[in-house]
Amino acid sequence: MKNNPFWKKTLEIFAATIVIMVFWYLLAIYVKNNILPTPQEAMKEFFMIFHGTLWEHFYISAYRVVVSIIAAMLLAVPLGLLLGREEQLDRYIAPVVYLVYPIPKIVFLPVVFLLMGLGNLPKIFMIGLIVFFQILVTTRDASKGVPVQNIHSMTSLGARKRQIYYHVVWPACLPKILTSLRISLGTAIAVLFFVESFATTEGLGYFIMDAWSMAAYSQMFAGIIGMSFLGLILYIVLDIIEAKWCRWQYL
Amino acid sequence: MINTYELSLTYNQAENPVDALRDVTFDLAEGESMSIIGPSGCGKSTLLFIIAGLLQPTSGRVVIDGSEPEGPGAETALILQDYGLFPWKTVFENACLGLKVKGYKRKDLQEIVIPILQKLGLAEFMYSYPAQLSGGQRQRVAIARSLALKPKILLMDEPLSSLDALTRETLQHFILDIWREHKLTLVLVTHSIEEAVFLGQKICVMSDRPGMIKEMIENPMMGCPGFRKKQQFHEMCSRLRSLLGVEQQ
Repeated sequence: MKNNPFWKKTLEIFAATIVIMVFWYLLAIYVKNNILPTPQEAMKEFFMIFHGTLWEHFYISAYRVVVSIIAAMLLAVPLGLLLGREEQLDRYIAPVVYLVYPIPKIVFLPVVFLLMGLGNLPKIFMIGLIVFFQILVTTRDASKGVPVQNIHSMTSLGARKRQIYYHVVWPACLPKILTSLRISLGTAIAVLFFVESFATTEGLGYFIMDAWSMAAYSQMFAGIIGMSFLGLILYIVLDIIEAKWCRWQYL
Repeated sequence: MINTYELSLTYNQAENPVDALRDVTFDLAEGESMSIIGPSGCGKSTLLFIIAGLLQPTSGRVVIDGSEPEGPGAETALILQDYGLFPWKTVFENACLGLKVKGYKRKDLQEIVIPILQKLGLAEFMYSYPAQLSGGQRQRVAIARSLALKPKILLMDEPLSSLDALTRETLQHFILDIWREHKLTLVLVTHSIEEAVFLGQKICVMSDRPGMIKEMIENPMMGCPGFRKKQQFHEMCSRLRSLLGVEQQ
């Protein structure tokens, strides 16, 4: 019983992969150009170079994405939960959030590079900064939406504020927080590609751009497959967390 | 024992303050039960929340066992209509919550809560989530949580209004039994005339906004065996109906 949904999911992902491969294959035959290799060629390349060179780029990219998402989450979730419940605080901070949220933060990349150097830090900071706001806004709205009756029921049991956050606000918002993480994951990987295409020699973004500049298209697609895997693995991790922590949602 | 003196509450909504309660004064002896009934929006829930210590009255005061409570009291338990249970907690966790908030240890929780769950027929659902229970079972979990706190006063805000008629009657008997067994002081807000008559030794009929006590009716027959089938029960219901202005053919 317990393994059942797991296998079902694996099968679904496998079937979806096949469908995408078929479309890719048809498109590649139609285009008939080196720039779009067939899926066989790309997969062959992927498995051939993964252990040699690709793995290191994969690892460093995974590191950057995971650290930036976790850092953003650790800051945005508590702040969002607070802003949703504490009107006084929200009154001061909400305008700032509204003002800053719609600015495409990626435009500050040159400034960030200038201030933080060219290592991992500016990349993690940039991804984290963008994702921070996505998580913050979702969490704040979820926290605002916790029914006041839930809070009353807790207060009538004599709960202190900290206990209300722990027993009510946090678990009530968790499903929406996980949704925001899923959305942020897509954003994070897109930003990752961008920040890795400058001034670095590590990471999947660099690997893809480098292969492109050498017109090594199968290699480029091997990098793209690597990036897709990265996203997929992190998605699956989020799914597992959700199944464990939000079991009550799926009854 | 609950005494209230000229309780009034005005909600300060921008520009048009709403008078929710005006001059509500009553006394309820220890172990007595009172039902509060009135048109919707008459402030009966507000009154209950003030007694529970969740709202502060604009003027007047509540005295419970001789002292004015500050905030929710340890001897008062409140049961709400729908939102009392948390869907992310199992039956056991929900039932423990009040004790947990008060800092009881895990072992003590089990010792106190499991017998109560067994008594209320919920033992086999300990690890289920509220979504897996029927409405009646859920309300029993809410009652279990309140009883775990060993309260002297039980406040209920339309506890049975989302249940079907059959479950509702069963639970009314159930509440009556619990009230007797635990010698609770019971205050029940309801919009069901039969429920008010069945569970209230006193019946507090409230007027439309601003909520005032229209009449306090003594209901001495409450709790006697087979009350629901007796002539007096129906007479009391009819009296309430005309007081509440419900047209009769």
